[in-house]
Amino acid sequence: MCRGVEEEVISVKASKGFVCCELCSSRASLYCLADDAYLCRKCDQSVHGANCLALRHVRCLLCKTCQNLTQRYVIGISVELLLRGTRPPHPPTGTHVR
Amino acid sequence: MAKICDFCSTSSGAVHCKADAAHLCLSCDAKLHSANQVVNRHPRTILYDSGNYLSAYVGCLDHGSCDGGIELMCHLCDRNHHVTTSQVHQRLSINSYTGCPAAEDLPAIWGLQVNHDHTSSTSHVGSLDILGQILDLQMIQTSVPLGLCSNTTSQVKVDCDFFQ
Repeated sequence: MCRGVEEEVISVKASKGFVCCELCSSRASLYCLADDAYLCRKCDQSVHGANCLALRHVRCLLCKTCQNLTQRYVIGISVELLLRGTRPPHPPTGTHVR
Repeated sequence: MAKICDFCSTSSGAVHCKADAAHLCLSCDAKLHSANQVVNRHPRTILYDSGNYLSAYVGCLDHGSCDGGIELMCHLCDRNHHVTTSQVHQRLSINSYTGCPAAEDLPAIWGLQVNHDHTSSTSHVGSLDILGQILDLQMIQTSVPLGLCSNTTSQVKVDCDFFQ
């Protein structure tokens, strides 16, 4: 069941029909607020596992079905947490779409 | 007291990266922000070299050295020196830079003029520290390619507006 927000991130869906990872063009599964970037799991671990500063970035998990932003977040390497009673971040402007 | 680099904890901080919420020296700034195209576009502001942690807001040409250098000021000092005193000085608005600047491009961002023998006419202690970091970075860039900064053609976007 989709737990994403109602606002669709239509503007960032590339010609492939899904939101792409900014680094490898595969299907994105997270959005990093600090980097303003969509990433797949593999690239997320590569980017945010690189150093202690990037490790602090909070990444928002995307719904696996519709890729909307959810209320689940990832911090550190792969610690997931659910923030109840909060609204997901504003959908990005999609300035970095492939 | 100068802010220490949050990454190496050795050199003094020269820039602030809002995305990483960190103060960084120039070498660490280049190393971290050359890793990939995602971090490469983090905007960084240069630190006001008076010793506090505020970012440089303007560069005043009239307060600067007589040979054309500029005096960096935070927004508070800019207000104290120019707004409250009604002085009309030529000032540059200094915002941020992205990309991976080559070491040769950095003195201009700080409003410094470097001579061919790598000395500068400035006698400001903070500026001398920045010059030292720039020279260190130049040695690193010419000896070891750093990811996206493998050549001297940098992708510098410096927002600089001229206003009075």
